[in-house]
Amino acid sequence: MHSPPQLSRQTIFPAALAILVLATFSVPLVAQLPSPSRAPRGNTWLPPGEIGQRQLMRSPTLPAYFQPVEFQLPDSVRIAPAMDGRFLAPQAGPVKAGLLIGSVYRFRVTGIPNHIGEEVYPSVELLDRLYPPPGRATDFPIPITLSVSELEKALAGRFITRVIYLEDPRKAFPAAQHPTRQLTYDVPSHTDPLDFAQQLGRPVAILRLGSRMPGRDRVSGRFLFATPPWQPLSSNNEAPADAVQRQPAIPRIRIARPAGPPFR
Amino acid sequence: MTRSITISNPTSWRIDAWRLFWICGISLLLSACRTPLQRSQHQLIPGPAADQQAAVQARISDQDRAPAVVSIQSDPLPEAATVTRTEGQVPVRQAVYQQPPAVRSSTLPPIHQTGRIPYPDAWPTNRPPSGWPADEYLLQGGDREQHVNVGRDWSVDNLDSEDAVVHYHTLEGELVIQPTNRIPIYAPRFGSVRRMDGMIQLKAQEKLAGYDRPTGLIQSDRTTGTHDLLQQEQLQHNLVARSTTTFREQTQSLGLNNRHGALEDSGRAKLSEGVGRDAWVEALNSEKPRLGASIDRPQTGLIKQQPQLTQDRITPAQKAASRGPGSLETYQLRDGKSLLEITKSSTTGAVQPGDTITFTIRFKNVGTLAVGNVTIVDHLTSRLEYVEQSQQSSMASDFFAITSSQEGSTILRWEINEPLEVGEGGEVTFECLVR
Repeated sequence: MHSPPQLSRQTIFPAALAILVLATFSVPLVAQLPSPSRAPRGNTWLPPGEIGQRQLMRSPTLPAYFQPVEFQLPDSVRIAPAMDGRFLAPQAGPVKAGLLIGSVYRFRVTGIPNHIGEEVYPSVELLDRLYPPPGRATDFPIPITLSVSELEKALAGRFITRVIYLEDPRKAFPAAQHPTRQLTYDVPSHTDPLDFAQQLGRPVAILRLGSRMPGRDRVSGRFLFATPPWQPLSSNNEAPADAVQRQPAIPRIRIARPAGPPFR
Repeated sequence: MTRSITISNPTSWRIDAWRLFWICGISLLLSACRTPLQRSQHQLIPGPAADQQAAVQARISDQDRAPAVVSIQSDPLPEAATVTRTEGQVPVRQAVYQQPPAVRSSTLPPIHQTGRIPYPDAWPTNRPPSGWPADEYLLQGGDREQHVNVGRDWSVDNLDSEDAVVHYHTLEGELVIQPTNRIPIYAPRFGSVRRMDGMIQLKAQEKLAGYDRPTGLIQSDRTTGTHDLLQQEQLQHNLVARSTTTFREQTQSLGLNNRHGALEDSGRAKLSEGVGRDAWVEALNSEKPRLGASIDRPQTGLIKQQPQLTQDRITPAQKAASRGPGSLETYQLRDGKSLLEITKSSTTGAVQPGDTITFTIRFKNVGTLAVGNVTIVDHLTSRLEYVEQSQQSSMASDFFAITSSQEGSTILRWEINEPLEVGEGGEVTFECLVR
């Protein structure tokens, strides 16, 4: 009669040890899988572009999509996007453009009231996209509002980090908003605005505004973040606007010819 | 004293190895099923958006079922032969919640119901992995979360924001509460959270980023010598090359050329009219829509010839049509029952903050008995502000507008004065300002 084999102590102990080791290491491996949640990971103290790049790896719909963005500016303020390593001609607001998610875009802002000749160079990083009805994407861009007070504070040496979020309609602030202003919450310096914005809705963009001036980085392109591609948009989803020029406008001095001989 | 050493059977050792292998495999599989909890570590406000979105999708999946047969519980009261509005004297019974009829046109946003490709034409249109983004839409109508209940004193309980219901009495004295359909309105609104740092914080941030850490002047000083001059010449040679910059310029110009080229290019098309129908001709892209319209004509004719479904003892048929695709709802009724049909619609499906949107609530007695005490209650979401004096009713009614101080939303209430006879109906309209 053949009896079934019995497990000895020398077999059970390695088996239990192997199970313990596998169970310990399998949980961190699973934790590295892409998360179905769409909330951005990270914080605003990370380098620009870090959070956006993490978002790209988590959602298949984000790469290669130009999310329309609209810059809303005060009257006299002009903004110039960068292309091919240099800034284009400044434009008055509102300015629409399609920006890639995960890339960082540098802009030049001029014409600040009471600060003639001074410039600031904000950067914009997109974290998520919108899903509007077909054909209405340019009608519902992500608004990025620049106020005079923020520009003046940036010129005074402050560094402003503003996280734009899509408001959860069931947590919405029950009041009407001004068309050219954005509901903004201020958080102290030790608080991450990205974390706070996740409680109010879905973060979609980060605006960084400081007083940093461009350096000599023509080779590295570090200041312009290597000028990622963007799509100029007009107000009604037509061809690229004429206002966007590939060459910057160079002011030239015209010398008028005298009407007659200067001396008689 | 000697100790005997027993050598185990090699066959049994092999079986134990197989057991060990299977135990390890199963434990690894079970351990891999543990998914980490996906929540923010700094939860300040209860009720994350992801949970609410999942709840919305769960309700949508419930409403996506096939149209259910609506039946009304019959428990006749002999003293309730007629229905009149006499508050406090009408024999009010416990409210019976009726399941909302399935309206497919309102359960999904228009982006997933049409086959069109959104902006721009060649860009991806994949759906988000977690379903359509409910946080970009204002939902109006229906009965979300707790079910609405009407008390004996005509008080309405559990009326959440976004809810729109109608309640009425049947001739049997039964109180019926029926929600409207739910309509999504695309109206995203944005806010921002700002942090201002001083110069000290700014310097600290740059140090943490560590961008300039590999570049150190000390390293250059150590290698200062004759070989240092050769190294500098090599660096100047790299500056001239600029290979990376040239590659980026080529990538951008390719994309723009493709976009403009498609507008002016021509292609081969097949004529569908005339003598040479089987011949391929060279046609401009701008002419292709005209050629394609002629090809589509026979297909359109086939669609029009689809027969309408008819079936005995199924009355009536209602078609809810607005901007989106409509749906055909059928109600199978027993003889001598009361049923009210209510539909909510809006003038547009996508609005900007500051726009005005008009809502219409239509109701009709589609049963075989009259109903009375018809009351329509609509709880607007906090993003909608009722425009004063904008409501209109096709039937004589009393209107009330109450602003909830807790949520900042408005509750609209219409009390229809006269009972609704069989086949009789009406509508109420009102305007809202999108906040």
